[in-house]
Amino acid sequence: MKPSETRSTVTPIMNNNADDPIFQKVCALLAPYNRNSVAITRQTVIVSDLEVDSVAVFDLIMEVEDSYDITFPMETVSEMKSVGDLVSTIGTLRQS
Amino acid sequence: MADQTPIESGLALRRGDFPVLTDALDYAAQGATGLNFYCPNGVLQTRLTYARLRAEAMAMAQQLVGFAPKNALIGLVAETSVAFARAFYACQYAGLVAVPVPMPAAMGGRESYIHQLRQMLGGTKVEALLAPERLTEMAEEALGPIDVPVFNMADPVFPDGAMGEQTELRPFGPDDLCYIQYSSGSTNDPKGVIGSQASVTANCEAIIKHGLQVRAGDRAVSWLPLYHDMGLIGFFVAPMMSQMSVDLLAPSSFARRPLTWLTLISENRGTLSYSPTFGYELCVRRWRNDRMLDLSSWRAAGIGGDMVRGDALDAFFETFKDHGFSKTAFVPSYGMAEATLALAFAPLGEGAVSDEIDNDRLRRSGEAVPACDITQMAARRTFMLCGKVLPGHELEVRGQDGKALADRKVGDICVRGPSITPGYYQNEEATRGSLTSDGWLLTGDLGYMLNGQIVITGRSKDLILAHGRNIWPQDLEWAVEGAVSGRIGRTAAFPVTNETGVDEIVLLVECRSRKPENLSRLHAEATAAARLAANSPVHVGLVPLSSLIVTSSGKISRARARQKYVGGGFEDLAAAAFAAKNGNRSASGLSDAR
Repeated sequence: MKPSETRSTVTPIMNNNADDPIFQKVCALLAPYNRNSVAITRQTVIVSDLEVDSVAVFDLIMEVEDSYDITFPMETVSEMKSVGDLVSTIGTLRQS
Repeated sequence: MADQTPIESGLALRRGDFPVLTDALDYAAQGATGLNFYCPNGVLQTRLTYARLRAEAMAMAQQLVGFAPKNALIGLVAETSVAFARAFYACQYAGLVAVPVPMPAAMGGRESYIHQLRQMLGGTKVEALLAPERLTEMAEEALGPIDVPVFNMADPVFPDGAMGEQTELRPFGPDDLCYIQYSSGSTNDPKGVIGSQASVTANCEAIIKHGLQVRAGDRAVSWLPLYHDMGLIGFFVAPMMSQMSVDLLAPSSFARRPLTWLTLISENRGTLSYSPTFGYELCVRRWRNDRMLDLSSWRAAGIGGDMVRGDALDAFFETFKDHGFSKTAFVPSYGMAEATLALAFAPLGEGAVSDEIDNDRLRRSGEAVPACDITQMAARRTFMLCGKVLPGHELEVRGQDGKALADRKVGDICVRGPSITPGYYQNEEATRGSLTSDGWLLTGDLGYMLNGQIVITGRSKDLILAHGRNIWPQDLEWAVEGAVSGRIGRTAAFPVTNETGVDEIVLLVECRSRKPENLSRLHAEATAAARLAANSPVHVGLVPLSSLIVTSSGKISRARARQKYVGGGFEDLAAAAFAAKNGNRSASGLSDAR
C-alpha cells in the first residue's frame, strides 16, 4: 500500500479514569523528559509544559510506538497536544 | 514484492547535461533505475522506476493541462511518496509551476500548520493544492477561506477548467520556470524562491559533475524532506538527472528510527547521502549496537543545512568506524535555496577539515586568527572549511565598503552564477533586497576565505537554527505578543550559542508590571506560547520596559539585544521578584554570559 493510501480514522476516546493503565504508562514514559518535575495530568501540554524539544518528541513517540506496537500517522501527531490527547490516541490506535 | 531498482541504469551515464527536467526524465526512463520508498522499519514499500514515473506523470499531466493554464501554480504537499513524485513531474510535463509545501511535523502543531499553509499559498494564487488524502481535511480548513481547491494527490479528479478539452502536453522550455521553494522567510512573511529550468539544471549539473563527481556505481539514500532544497534538488531531482537510483525514507520515519537510514545505506550499498549535523547526532544517540552495518560504500557523507559541528562528526565517526565508515567520507557543504541548493563542497575524500580560531579576537576585530598556545580554551572556536565555490560561479566575502576581503577577514558572503534564483515570487522588495543589478546574491551569511575555501561563521543574522530547522525570531515574538498582549512592551528572540556550539533560543519580553504574581503568570504564559511556536525549549527572560535596544528606524535590534544579554546587561525581573518573595536571594543580571 502506498503511504498516500493509508487512511486513518482516529477519533479520540475519552477516559477520565486516572488509574487508566495507558495514562500510567505514558506518565512513566514522560518522566525522563520532565526535567522540572511538573505534576503530569491529562491537561499537561507536552511541548510547552514539559521541556520536550522537537527531537525528544520523536524519542517519546518511538517509545510509545514500541511499547504498544502501534504507528502514529503523521497527521495524528500534529493533532496531539496534551497528555490526554496522547493517551486517547493510543487507546484508539490499539483498537484499530 | 520486487527488489529495489538496481544501481546500474544500463544507459551511458549523462551527468546532468539537460536543458530542462523533462528531457532528463525522458532519458532516465530508458534505463532500469528509479526511486524506492521505504517503511520506517526499512522494508521496501514501493519501487518506482523512472520509466513508470515518467509514464504516470505524463498521464496525470494530460489531466492537468485541461485544468489550469500554462505557468499557473500548483501547490503540492511534499510527502515522501509515489504520489508526490508523480505530481511533481506531472507539473513539469504540463507546464505548471509546482510549489512544494511542508507536511505537518510538530506535535500538537495542527493550528500552526493550517496558519502556515494559508500564509504560504494565500499570497501566491495557486490554482489548487494537491495533498495526501488523510491531510485533505486539514488542507481544506486552511485553504477553503481563500478559495483554493484541495485535491487528493494520489488520485486527483480535476473539474474541466479554463482549458476545456485540451490534453496536449506543454512541457517547460529552457527559459521557463521550474518550481517555487518556500524554505526561506518566516511563517508570517513567507518568501517563495523561484527556481527556473536554467537555474535548477545548472545547479544539478554542477553538483553532479563537480560537487559530488557522480560516477557509475553511485546510489543515493535520503531521508531529507522534499519540501526543502536539500531533499528536493539534492536527492530527488539531481539523481534523476544522472540516472541514479535513490532510496527514500520519510523524514518522520527517520526522526523515529534514524538507524534505518544507515541500514539502507549498508544493505543497498549507498554511496551518497546527506544530513544536517543533527542527523548524525541522532544516529549516535540511538545506536544500541544491536545490528551489523557495513558503511564502507558511503563515499560522500555530506553535511549541510545547518552549521557544521566537528564534535558531532567526530562522535559519529567513533561510533561507526568499526562498521566500515570512513572519516574521509565527510563532505561539509554550503548552499541555500536562493542558489537552488549548493554553492560549495569540501574536496571529496579529504573529510571535514576544521580551523580553530581565537573567538575573542574574531569578536573584537572581525579577523579569524588561528588559536595558539596562549589562547584560552573558552575563547577557542572551531569552524569547518566548506570548500571552493562550484565552477562557473563566483563567491566573495565583502567588507562594509562592499570590497572583497583578504583571507581570514570575516564579512558578508556574496555569490553569483547560473544557479542563482531570478528572485522571490511576486516580491519585488525582497528581490531587490537580496539581488544586485549585476547578478550578485547577498546571502546574509557571514564567513571568511581560507586558501580559496569558504568558512561559514554565522547564518543570516537573525535566523535561529534548531535541530536543522530554521526558526524565524519574529514568529516567536508574534506568538508571545498574541498570547500576552496588553501586558508587555516589546519582545526580542535570538539564538545564543552554548559551549557545545548548539543554539539555544532566548526570548526577552519587556514587562509593564513588576508585581511578582503578575510576573510569574506572564512568564508561564509567554514560555508556553514561545515553546509551542518554536517546538523547542525557549528561555524566556522578563526585562524592564524600554530596556530592549531599537535601531534608528525604530525596529528592535535583535543582534544588540543578544550582545547585551550575553554581557549580562539586562535586569532579570523574574529573578528579582523571586528574590523579593524569598528574601534571601539577591537579584542578578540575566544570562549565564556566553
